Amino acid sequence: MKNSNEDCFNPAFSHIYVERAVKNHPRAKRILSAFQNAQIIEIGHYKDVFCRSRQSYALQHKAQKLILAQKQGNLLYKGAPVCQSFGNRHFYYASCMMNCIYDCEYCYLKGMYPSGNLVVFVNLEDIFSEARRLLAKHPLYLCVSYDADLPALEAVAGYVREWIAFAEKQEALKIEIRTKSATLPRLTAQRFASRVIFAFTLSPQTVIDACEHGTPSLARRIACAADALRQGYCVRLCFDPMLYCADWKKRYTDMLKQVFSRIPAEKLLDISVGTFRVSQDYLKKMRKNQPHSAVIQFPFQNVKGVYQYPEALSLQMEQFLVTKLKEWLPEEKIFLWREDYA
Amino acid sequence: MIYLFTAMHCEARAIIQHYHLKKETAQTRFPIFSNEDAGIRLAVTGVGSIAAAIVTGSVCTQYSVGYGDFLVNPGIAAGKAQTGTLFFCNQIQEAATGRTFYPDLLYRHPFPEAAVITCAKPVQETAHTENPVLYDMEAASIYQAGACFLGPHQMSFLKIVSDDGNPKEVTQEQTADLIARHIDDISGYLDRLQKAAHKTDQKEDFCAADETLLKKLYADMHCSCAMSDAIRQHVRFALLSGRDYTSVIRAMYQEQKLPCKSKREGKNRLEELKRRLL
Repeated sequence: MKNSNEDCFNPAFSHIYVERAVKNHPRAKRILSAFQNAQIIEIGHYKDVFCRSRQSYALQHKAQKLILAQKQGNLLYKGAPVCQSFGNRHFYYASCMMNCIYDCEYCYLKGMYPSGNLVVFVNLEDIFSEARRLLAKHPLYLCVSYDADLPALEAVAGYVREWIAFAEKQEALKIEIRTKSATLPRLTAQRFASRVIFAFTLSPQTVIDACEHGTPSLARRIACAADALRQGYCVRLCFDPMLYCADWKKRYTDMLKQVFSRIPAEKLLDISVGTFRVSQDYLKKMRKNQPHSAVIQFPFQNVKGVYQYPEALSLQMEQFLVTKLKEWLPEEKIFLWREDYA
Repeated sequence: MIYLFTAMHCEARAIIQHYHLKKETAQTRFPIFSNEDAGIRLAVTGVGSIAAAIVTGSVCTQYSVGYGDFLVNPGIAAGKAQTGTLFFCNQIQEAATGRTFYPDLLYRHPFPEAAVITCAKPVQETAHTENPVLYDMEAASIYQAGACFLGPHQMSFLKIVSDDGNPKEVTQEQTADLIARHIDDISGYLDRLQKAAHKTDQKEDFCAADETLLKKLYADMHCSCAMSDAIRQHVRFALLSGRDYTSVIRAMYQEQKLPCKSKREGKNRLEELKRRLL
């Protein structure tokens, strides 16, 4: 768990806001029991805290608060065009948490949300009901860790275990759990393992040091992915977003060598590759919040409302990585975001 | 700068003395005291919501309060807790509207926390509650007026319990004494805010030398606004990436690719400059 060392700031989760409607919810009680010393503040609606005007995302992230709330309205969302479907026709994502304990400078959440605080929706059962409703109509490919990093908060929320338990009972459901963390729960049954995909986002260590604050090292993520494979989980590696820097070829080449020295490539489900891209509205806010972050101050090109590297550079970076990856994996296991977006 | 707002002069007295604040004589509609060196300005708003909102809005406008500034509202409040206890307010309710406001709780402080309810009149009776609840007459208005200029991370509300619903029994001397007893705690918290403000000071993207060079470059390339913006963003990225962008530009001058004779040539050179700056 992140804990700010800067002496001015309160430690992470020193205060927990709880919607009155969920204060007696079993999950809320379980989460609160992990924070005996936290100050609990009852609120009417999470947006009263999360959606205040003029908040400082960056400062709030230094003393992040937890908000326990009830998810209302849309419970599952159709996958966005800038996200990869990996060939799945019915591609949805769930937002059972908002925001992340990690502090990645390029993260789109910094442009999407008005607050740096972390919201956990405790009515997971309603999201499961919605998934069941869709499953009655068609199979479902559901990404459950998009607007947060569920495994990173597993010790507190336990949502990865709950999603795996749910997936076990739904034969037409395939879930993807995307993470930068280096911990995962023990698999209890092998027979449904093919329907739970752990997707590890990997970056060169220099990128992690510069931009992915508070995240586990590359070596730890690789070790965790290798462990997941040993346990029988489906594992996807995500080299997405690829980030530009002057010596990107060397950094990404070194990273691949490190990855495949520990991970048997033939056991991987697949790999995703994509250079950084983000919607124009999000980037505007991200740049305002982090004026001194090189990674988001790159002079991107705006293509149909999505900021991305200049096309020639973007293609060069992606093709370079794909060519390298083909030394270890067949091409059909390598997915490019561009193919989905076209 | 830290802007303090108190309802009454007796609430301000200890703070004025501690920080050696001087009255701003140019201001006559309501008293303002300041010490620029200490980074403190204090306004006495008068009692009640309307007076508090007017003075807060006026001061924030007059001094262009914004980034790097803080608003702090120290004062007395009624409550069931022990008289003389200083509370840090983690939520502010406005009794008249039922609305609740949440100042951010980013910075460490040594105080117990409580909710404060802002009422139109002094309360005659305070409620027994599981968590401490205080009653004042200004906090919600100061928060709302301050929120037009500042974010929730820039506003703090410190309330000292003066009575449990018998406001007439609290004299000005007693009020001044309650604040004076906590002046070290209050100033300790203000020091922390000032340190935090220093840490988050916004560095300028470009120094004066950068600006001079960029201005010359725009002119030498016959730049439109869009071209200037593109160059500026490339240079910003180069600077943040630790690259010496001046050597790239100098090289183009030495290669006689700059200055350009026309806008058309400038556009062609721009593509080369962008490539070389990445």
